[in-house]
Amino acid sequence: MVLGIAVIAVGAPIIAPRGYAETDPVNRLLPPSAEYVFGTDALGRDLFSRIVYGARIALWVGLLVTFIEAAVGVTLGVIAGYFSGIVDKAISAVTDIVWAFPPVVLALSVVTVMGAGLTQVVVAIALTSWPAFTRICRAKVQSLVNREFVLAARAIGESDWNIMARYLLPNLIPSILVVSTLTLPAAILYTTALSFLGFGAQPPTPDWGAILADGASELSIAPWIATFPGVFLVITALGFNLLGDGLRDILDPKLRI
Amino acid sequence: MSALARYAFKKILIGIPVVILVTLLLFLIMKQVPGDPIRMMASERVTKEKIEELRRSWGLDQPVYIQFFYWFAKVMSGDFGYSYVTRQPVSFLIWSRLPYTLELTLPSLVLSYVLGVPLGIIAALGRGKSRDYLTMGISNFFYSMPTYWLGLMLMLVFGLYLRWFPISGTTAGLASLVLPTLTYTLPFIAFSARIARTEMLEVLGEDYIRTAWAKGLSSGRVILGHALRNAVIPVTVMFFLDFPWIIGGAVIVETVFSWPGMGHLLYKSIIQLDYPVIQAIVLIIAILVVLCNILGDIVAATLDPRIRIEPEGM
Repeated sequence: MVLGIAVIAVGAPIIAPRGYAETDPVNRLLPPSAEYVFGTDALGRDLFSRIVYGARIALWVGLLVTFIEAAVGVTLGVIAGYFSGIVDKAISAVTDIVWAFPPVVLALSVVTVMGAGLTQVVVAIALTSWPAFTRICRAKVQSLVNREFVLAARAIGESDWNIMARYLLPNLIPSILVVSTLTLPAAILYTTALSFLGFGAQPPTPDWGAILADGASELSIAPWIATFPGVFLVITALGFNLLGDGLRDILDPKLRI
Repeated sequence: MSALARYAFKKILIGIPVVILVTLLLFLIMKQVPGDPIRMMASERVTKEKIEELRRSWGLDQPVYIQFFYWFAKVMSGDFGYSYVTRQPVSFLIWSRLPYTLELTLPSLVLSYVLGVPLGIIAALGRGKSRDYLTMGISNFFYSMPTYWLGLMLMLVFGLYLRWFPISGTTAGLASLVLPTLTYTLPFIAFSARIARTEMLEVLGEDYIRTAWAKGLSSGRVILGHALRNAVIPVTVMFFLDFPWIIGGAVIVETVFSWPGMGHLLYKSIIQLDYPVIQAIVLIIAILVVLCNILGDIVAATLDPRIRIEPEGM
C-alpha cells in the first residue's frame, strides 16, 4: 500500500490526466465517469488528478513532519537518557506535558500566532508530536548507558557528545525507524485535519484535507468529492501503520508505542 | 500520611508551577499574534482618540508584564475577560458551550473503555486466531481513519441516504447525538482495543501467569484473577492521560457536525481572531492536561502499589 501511494506521488504528472488546478466551468460537479474517473469538483477540476497530486503533498508533509519530530525528539531523548538528574527531570517534565497536550489544539494555537498555511501547520504538528521519540530514546539510552562498550568509550577518553552520537545513536536506529513509520500516518492525519479546517494548505493546493473540506460543503450534491480523498488517506495511513507494526515485530518486538 | 497520600501530594505540588508556567507561555504567545484587536473591534470611521480610549479601557496600553499580572489574577478568579466579537464575558460563552462538549465526550469515553478494552483482551486471548485478526483488522482500519472523514461518511450514509439521523446541529434531541458520538467513539474503541491487546499479551507472557497455569488453575481464574488486573492498569491510566486528546478531537468533530460545543467555539474564535476566547479555551485545556496527568499518576498508584514508592533519582 505504501509503495502504491509512493508510486502515485512520484509519478503524479504522468498518472494524472489533467492539472490539479485546471478549472473547467462547463463540467462542474460531474459524477464519476469514464472521462473523469472520480468526477469533478465545484470548479470543474478533475478530482482524480487532484488526488494524485495530493499524494505528493501527503507524503512530503508526512516525511517532513516526521523528520523534524525525530530530530527534536531523538536529541532530547538521548540527552535525557545519558545525563540523569536535573537535565533528565526537566526534559521529561516538558515531554510529559507536550505529550498530553492535544496536537490539534496546540497546532491551532501556533496557527493563530503564525497564520494559516501548510508550512505553519507542518511546524506546528512537528512541535507537538516529538515526545514519542524522546520517551523511547531515553528509555533505550538508559538501558545502554552502563554497558561495557559505553564504559570502554568513556575509559579511552571519548567526550560525552561523541559517545552519544557515535556509540549510542547507532543502537537507536532500529527503534527510531519503527517510531518514524508509526508517527508518519499520524502526521499526515493531523496536517490534513488542519487543512480540512481551513488552516493548512490554501487553494488551489490539492491537499487531501482541503479537498475533503470542498467535499463537505457539497456533500449532498456531490458526495464523491468527500469520499475519494478519504479512501486514499485511509489507505496511506493504514499502509504505514501496518508497515510500522511489521517493522516493529522484526526490528524491535519489545518496543511499545 | 500514607504512602499514597504523600505521593498524591507531591504530584499536585509539582503541578502548580507547571500550570503557572504554561499560563505565562500562553500569554506571551498570544501577545505575539498579528492583528490589532482594537482595530478589529472598531470600524474604519472611529476616531483616533476613541481608539486610544478603547485601548485604555481594555488595558492594552499597559506594559506586558502588568497586563500579565492583571490577566493572571483575573483568570484565577474565573474571569477571562470579554470576547472581542460578541462582547459577552468569555466565561459565560464557555459555560454555555461546555455541556454540549461533555454530552459528546463523556459517553464516548465510557463507550470506548467499556467496548475497547474487552475487545482488545478477547483479541489477545485468541492470539493468532481469526478473532484476533478480525478485531485487529477492524481496529487498524478505524485507527487509520481521519475522524472528520468518518464523520462525513456517516453523515452521507445515515443522514443523507438512509435519513435515520439528522446530519448536524442539536435540534433533534438524542437522535442528533448519534452520529457525532459514533464519529468520536469508533476510532477511540480501536485505539483502546489496540492498547489493551498489547498490555494483555505482555502480561500473559509473564512468569507468574505461567505459574498460575502450571498450578492447574482454571483458565477463568488465571485470566480474570491474575492477568486482567495487571493488564487493565496501564489502559485505565491511559484513559486519564487521553482525556485532553478527546477534548482536542472535539474541535474537528464539533466543526464537522456544527455542534455548538467548546471545540466549535475554539474553531470560530480562531477564524474571527477572538483572542480572549482562544486564550481561555487553550488555557483550560492546558490546565486539564496537567490535572489529568496528576490524576493519571494517582490512579496508577492506587491500582498498583509498586508505583507509590518512587526510587530515588527517578
